[in-house]
Amino acid sequence: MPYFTEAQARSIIRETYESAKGEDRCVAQALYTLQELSGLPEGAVMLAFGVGNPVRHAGLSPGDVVLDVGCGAGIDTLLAASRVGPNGRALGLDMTPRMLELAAHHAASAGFANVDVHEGLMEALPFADASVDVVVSNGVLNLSTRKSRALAEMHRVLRPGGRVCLADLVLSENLPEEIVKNPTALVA
Amino acid sequence: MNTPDAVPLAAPTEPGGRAHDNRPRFEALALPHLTHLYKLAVRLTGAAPDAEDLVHETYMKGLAAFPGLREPERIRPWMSRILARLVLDRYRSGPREVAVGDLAELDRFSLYDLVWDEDPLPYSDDLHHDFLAQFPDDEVRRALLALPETYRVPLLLLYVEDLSYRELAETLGCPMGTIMSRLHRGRKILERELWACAKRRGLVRSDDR
Amino acid sequence: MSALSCAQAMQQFFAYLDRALAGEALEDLETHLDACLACCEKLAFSRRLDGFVKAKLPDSPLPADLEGRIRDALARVEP
Repeated sequence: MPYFTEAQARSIIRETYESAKGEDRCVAQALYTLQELSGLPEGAVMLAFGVGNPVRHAGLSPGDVVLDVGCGAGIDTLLAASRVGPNGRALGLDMTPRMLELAAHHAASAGFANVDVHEGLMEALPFADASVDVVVSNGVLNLSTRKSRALAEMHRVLRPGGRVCLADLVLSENLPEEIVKNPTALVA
Repeated sequence: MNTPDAVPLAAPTEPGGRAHDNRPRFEALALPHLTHLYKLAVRLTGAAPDAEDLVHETYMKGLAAFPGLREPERIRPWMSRILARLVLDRYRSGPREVAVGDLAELDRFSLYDLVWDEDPLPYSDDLHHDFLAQFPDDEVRRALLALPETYRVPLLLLYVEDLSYRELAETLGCPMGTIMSRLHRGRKILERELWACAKRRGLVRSDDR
Repeated sequence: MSALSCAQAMQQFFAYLDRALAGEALEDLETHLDACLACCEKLAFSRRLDGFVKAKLPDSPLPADLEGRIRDALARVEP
């Protein structure tokens, strides 16, 4: 059921992430190994808001073009960038301008020349059909009010034989009414 | 409201007035509504021959009951009521009607939610509208006819005759609370039938929901 | 006045659309609808579905001889 309009949901999410502070490394340490985190800019680590580690399981190869949907401050984009190497590309997509600036900054400060950030919506990916080898996404799909469309878009941009590796929250039963109507619960 | 009629009305016919005396007045009042009643009968039964029989019998009963009609200007709802009662009496649980099943579960059925969750048209910006637009007319009619007549009759009277709940209660001889629950459940059965149809036609996945 | 849950509100949608809700029941539902986008959307869909089904009801032309047959049958009724 649509408890929020698409516009309302996006507005709540954008506002939250525009002002999100990276308080500590707890999320990152829970999801990534020390080895994965070493060499990453502090900002990217502190602003990790994912729920899993999709890049680890995505089977990335050097030369791959990989898209990180909802890249935030870029931690998964950077991890992907290091796996695909200089002949590959890591594309970060996000709808929050502040996060994109941070992701670009983090890529530059870590010395990655193979990272591009793009502003846009997961429901309308600004990429051509069949232009990407792998899509990764970390705790982002749950924020969409049209998940099927976001998935259809991922399918569209993937070349035939491409792969998706998502980490996200799944419900095993319906949430109580007071939670689904709560804006904080939408984002958190 | 008394409107002038082609055949001048005397005072309401006397109780026990003879059929052949009443016939010209009855015909003058009732036959203009034949097209309307026939359409209602087809919508109620789904079959032209059944509808013809039904309408035929409605007029026979109408003539016999005519002396009791106090408000001649309300002859159309009066005839519709006779027709509806005939359907209820005659068409008990037809073979193509669906079993209603668990009523509490039925009450909670929501085609809206199922379409929202399934999202079979991801690129549609008016999902529910576009979903409904995929159903051909005959499937919608079939879904309606799949309702047991207990639910189909009040729903069609609501749709076609635009009767209030009070009028429906009088027409069908049951309490308003019953009318309310039948109209709710009738629509829910309809939603359930449309969803089943969508699954059959591959408009949505058919694993069990 | 009692606060309705979404599940309770849904049970009243058709009565509301059919203009059969009044008094406290009507107030309670309207209060819920004022604060619940999901139920507003669902109610709008119920309204739309009614219209959709009504629009698809068959419009059957009267069989040419039906009126004649009925008149004949009425005429044969014993006085």
